[in-house]
Amino acid sequence: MCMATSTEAPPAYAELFCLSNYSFLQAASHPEELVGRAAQLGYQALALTDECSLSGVVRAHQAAREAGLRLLIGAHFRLPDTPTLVCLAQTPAGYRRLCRLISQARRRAPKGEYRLTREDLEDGLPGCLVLLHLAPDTPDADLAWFRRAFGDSAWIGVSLLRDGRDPALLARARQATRTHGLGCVAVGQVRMHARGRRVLLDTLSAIRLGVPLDRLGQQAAGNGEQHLRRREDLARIYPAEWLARSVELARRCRFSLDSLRYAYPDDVTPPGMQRHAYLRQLVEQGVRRRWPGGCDERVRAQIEHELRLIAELGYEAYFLTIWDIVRHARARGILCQGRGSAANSAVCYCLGITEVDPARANLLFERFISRERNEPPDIDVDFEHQRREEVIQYIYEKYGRERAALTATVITYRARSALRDCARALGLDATRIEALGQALSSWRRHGGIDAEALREAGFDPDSPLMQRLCYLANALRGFPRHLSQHVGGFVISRERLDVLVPVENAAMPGRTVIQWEKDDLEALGLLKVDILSLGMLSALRRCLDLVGRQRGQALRLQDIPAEDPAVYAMLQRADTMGVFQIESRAQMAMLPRLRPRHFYELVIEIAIVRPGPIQGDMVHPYLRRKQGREPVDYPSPEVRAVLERTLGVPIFQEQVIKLAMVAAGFSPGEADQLRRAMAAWKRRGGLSPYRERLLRGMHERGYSRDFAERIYRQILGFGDYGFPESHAASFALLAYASAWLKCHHPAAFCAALLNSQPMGFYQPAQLLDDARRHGVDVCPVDVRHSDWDCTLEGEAPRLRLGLRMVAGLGREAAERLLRARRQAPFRDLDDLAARSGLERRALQALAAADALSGLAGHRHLAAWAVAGIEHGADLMRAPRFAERQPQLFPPSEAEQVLADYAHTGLSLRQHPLALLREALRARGFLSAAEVGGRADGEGVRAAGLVLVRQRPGQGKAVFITLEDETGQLNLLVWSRLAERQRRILLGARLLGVNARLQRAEGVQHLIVHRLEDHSELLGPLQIRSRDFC
Amino acid sequence: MLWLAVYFPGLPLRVFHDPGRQPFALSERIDGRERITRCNRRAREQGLYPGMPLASALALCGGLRVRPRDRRAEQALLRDRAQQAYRFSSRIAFDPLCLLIEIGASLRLMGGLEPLLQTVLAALCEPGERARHAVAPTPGAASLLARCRPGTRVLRREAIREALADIPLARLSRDPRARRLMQDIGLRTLGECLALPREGLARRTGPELLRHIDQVLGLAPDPRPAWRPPTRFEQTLPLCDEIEHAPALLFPAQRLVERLARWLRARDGATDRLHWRLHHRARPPTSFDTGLLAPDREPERLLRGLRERCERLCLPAPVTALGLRVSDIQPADTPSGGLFPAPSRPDLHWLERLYNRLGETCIRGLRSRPDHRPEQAWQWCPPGRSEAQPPRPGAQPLWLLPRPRPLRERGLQLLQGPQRIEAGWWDGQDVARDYFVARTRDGTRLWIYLDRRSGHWHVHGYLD
Repeated sequence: MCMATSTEAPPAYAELFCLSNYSFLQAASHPEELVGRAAQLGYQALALTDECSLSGVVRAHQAAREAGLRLLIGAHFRLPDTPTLVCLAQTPAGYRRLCRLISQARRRAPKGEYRLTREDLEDGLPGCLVLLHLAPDTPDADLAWFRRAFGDSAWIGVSLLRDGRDPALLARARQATRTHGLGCVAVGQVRMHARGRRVLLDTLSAIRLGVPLDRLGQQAAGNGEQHLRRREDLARIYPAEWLARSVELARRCRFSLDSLRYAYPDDVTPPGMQRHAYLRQLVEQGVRRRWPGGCDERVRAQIEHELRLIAELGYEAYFLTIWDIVRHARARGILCQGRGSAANSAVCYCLGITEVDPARANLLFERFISRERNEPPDIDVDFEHQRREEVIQYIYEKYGRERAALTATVITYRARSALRDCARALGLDATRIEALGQALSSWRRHGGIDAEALREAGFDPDSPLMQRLCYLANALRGFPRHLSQHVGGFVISRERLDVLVPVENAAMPGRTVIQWEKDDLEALGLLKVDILSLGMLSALRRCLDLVGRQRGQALRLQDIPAEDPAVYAMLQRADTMGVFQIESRAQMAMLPRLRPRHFYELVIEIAIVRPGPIQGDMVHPYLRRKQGREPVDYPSPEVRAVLERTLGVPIFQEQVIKLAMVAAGFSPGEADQLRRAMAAWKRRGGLSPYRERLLRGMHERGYSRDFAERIYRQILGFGDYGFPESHAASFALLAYASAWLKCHHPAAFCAALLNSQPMGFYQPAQLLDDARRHGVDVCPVDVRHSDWDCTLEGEAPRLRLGLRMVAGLGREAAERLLRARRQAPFRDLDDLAARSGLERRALQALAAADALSGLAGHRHLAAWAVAGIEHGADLMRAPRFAERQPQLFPPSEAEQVLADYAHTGLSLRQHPLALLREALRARGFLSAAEVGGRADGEGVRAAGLVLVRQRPGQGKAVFITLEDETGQLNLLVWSRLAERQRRILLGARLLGVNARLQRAEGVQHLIVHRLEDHSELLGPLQIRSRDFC
Repeated sequence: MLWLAVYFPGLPLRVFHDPGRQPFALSERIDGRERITRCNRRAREQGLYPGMPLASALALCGGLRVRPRDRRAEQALLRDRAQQAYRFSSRIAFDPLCLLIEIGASLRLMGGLEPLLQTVLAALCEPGERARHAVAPTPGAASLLARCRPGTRVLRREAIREALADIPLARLSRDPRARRLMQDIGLRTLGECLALPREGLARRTGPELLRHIDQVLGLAPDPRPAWRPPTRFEQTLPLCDEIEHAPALLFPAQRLVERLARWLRARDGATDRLHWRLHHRARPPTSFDTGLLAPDREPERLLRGLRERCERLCLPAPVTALGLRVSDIQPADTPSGGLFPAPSRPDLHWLERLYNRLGETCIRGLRSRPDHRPEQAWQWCPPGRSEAQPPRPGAQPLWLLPRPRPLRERGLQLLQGPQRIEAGWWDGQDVARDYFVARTRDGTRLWIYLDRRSGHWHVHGYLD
């Protein structure tokens, strides 16, 4: 018994039937891995043929380009009563036909499924080759149909997998050739790139079928043959003729994704006009609008430069389309603003897409579009989050579902879901899987499951079961699970989309999704626009509306006066709860030190509190220079031009790029490459090639080694986490507007924020507390006065909480109540129930939220009254006999506060801790206000409700914010203590600490050295804390 | 009437054997989440409490042993205690985890309340177990008091109201509507609830709550189904003449079985297990069981087991009396239609006979398992329990060796193959083999494989 060892070269081969993990849960390798292996094995070509999907082809295409392998595009399908068919695109026309076929099949079925019948293939799929995957029992009738339907493009694909069926398959194949004249070709039905992946493949089967591995049996593959096999092995299995045919068929397929072209729609240009001319017209209109007195030389030069570049690269239609969307939104009163790199563009400013004035800022257009980048521009626009849907509908209506679709996001396995599914496949029960979840948090940080954490959770990390589990879960991370719609990325095309890329149904009805993601589109050079949502925009618009109504005169965003000293004074006090971008704990700690006095310093404030500048050590030098404790110097006038506005410290991404150009002689394209490398260096290895170039360039231009090293270090620290200046400026505009409104119209501001929840950093309870501290009067929810939204009442004005704050009351029920009230005020509770037709649950919700106090008395009386209301047929009966009222005592203050929190999420009566103050004092705890009166360096004991837990960056410390009835306290817990007292840190609702007070430059922290959990004092009170760790 | 309620809060934990050294807790699925419902002292020391989500409990206490609550075992344990209590009273009823015993009738016999309580509690509780008890004129009141005010003795009906005045309402009723209302209007105790206007309350909570309260107070009847200990059939038939040969036992056995059949019919029951006892003069009795595959009550079928048994039974000594005991009664599911007994399932009769003739341990069934590895693809099972599996591809041998043996034969001719099997990594017995059909020089067809890891050849089976 010997294996033939041939000394001649193995035969050429091309794999024509191969699945990647984009056939969800059916294959165990990434497209890149398949391509890499095929190239290694010396295949002539590889076809990627996922099931009714082209989701993975772009990745495969990129990998194939790098590896020098020819990639064929295709897909396979399973039809009812028909063997599997594999379709390969031969020509661009064939590719288009394939896309249409996939789209057709997917659009008919719910998300994640497809339906295809023989009728759909009647035209024989011109431009495609079709292979029928043979089984030993494939009936003759099927083969006859196949021959008829596809004629010369029809071939039989035979996969010999050494599973015992090979002899039968061979016989059947030979018979088919004799009877029907169909040629045979060798295919692998490949599901993984290497044999060793069979372990993962079996696991995927177990997950897909919902069955533990030891019960899979015949449903799992019997062996690991479905991988990319060596050509020597293939030679021993298949007839030589069939192998040769695979190469021949591959040669017939000439289509490549590189030839994909699409054009942006032309709908917006009026008939008879050229695109470029129309764009020029709109831009000039914009110039007149933005600078009524005319724009200056510099800006004009920039506009001309941009328009030239846009024309050269052919992007006019793109800009016009987005202009139209923004215009439409504004016409409907929806606030919107462009963000990101687009804010670098003067043309965008003129078109009203962005709001950063090029006259007042230094913009770097190359950041947005440049010849060298060879990438399409990417415009992201923020809309009011509650009205974004209207914008999306507009796009669908205008361009039709044929030409517009959302980009996809591929949902992949994360650590937790991978662990869970693998554990289930290995047969662990629910209890143990829960316990495993506990061990996870350490996994996320360390990149591999920690043995200690496993032991703590009651598992033995050395047991074979655990080792298998860890291996599988690690391998499964990052595997695609299913396709979902991206948050707001849109592809809009001049002709049909579904001949460019397959389109399928999303989960939401009426939504369609293309099968490619953002990165895929970028790789192929396809344009997309991001329709994003921003909670703050909703809040701003609502606030402007409220103020306008109060004043009797509309207030628009542009009417807000600039550079109001009162606003900046408020910012310097860090009185910024609710203000966009500068309300976080970290920002509040920076504001009193940086003390922004004008707009540009606000821009810096927003950009500086980010991991990039913090790690690059830009923050302290900047603060020192601003406070005059360090001299500001520049090694040269060129550097001065770049860094002057930030006191010599690079804070924005563009400054770093400009420095590379100005001080080290990089060309704009090279500088952009540097930017890209900065973003990726942590993943791909160092920036060393750039280091040499930088140091040399700077040395040549006479800069000191010191300076050069310093700049390089700052670049390293920057990484991906620095803001572009334009982006920070866009945000600063919104931050200033919201700060102004908070400063001058606190009641309207708070109402607007409450009506726009969920959004922002703080809960409604904190926002209201803050408003009351600023002198705003707040009235509770009342069915006699409240609207659905929070509103303003009276002269002062007072803030009336809306019915939306009542937990368990739906909008529809509330509307019915309001309609009834508009007809006539409510006489009593029975009248309310009768006229508004609210069902019991809604009434109970109102009673529990104390909204019925005006009609029925305190909570207990209201609950009794609501329980006694008859519903249904009895409603029409004559008024009942008067019944005896029970004597019910009102709830205690503590119970009222508890009920308030439980049913509205806040309380206007007292802070829960006010009720516990005695008990807390007895344990030696100070209030926040009392702590404020102590001196720097003192030891204090304090307690409060946990609002926020954060562990930024590398996690050297945990930041906690506590709250009591007098204010908030910021705690700092070093990581060693955090580990030691981990349970209390993570679990306590009412936290007590022994700490040392630290106060400097107007910022106060408590450095904790001991934690205590006093949650039992709270009883059932639940406060939701925000945990970022 | 006077009722004694004995409440066993620790029963759920007691069902499991827990030495108490390690933290141990029971879990239940409540509202879609797994929660701890009971925990032992060690667990409580670690900070666990009933109602805590399981995930939190596991996080807090890494070495926690958790089992799901076993209500059936609790019921069985409670019934055992009821059996004990049956000595003292014939009226026994159950509440959740609580035994209700009517003691009014037994007071005089036991010499008064205190001696009675002492005796009963000693009989019912295991050493080291804490049980709470209370005495009241109605079962509902006794149960409530045992849970909330253990040790209370209420002897007169008029005193019930006062005794129950500060019982928490949450304990009174499980009705969610009622509980919610009481919570919403701020009432906590039964006394407060009784102060509410009756009609208003009835309208809001439905009649159930008021009826329940009336029952507890003794204003309305509260008939509790009395519990009866399970019955059994036990008869012994002394023999006039001693029997020395087993087959002769069938005659007296026939009479016993007929009595059994009548007894079963009267209770509408059936059985599948008969316990026979042969009494001898000077030696201890011989006992054995005969069984049926399915519960039955026809004399002929009940006797068949003994008939089969007697054919090979060797009597160690002459039999002086024959006893029959049946304790496992199950409801009969055959409708008694006509005059003639309905025929039972025909296909399993022969199996019953085999069982009775050869003994239960000698008969096994065979069934296939879904697994690619040939040695794992089959298993023993109770006969008659296999389902058809889809056919497996490739050659399948008729005979499989219990363990593959190394290949020693030479001059083999390979007929079929290779069929590659790679599977089983998940239970640590991964195989990677290439199977072939080979013919030896004398024409036998072997099923052999090459182990791809070791490179050795083995024989795994024979095709003929």
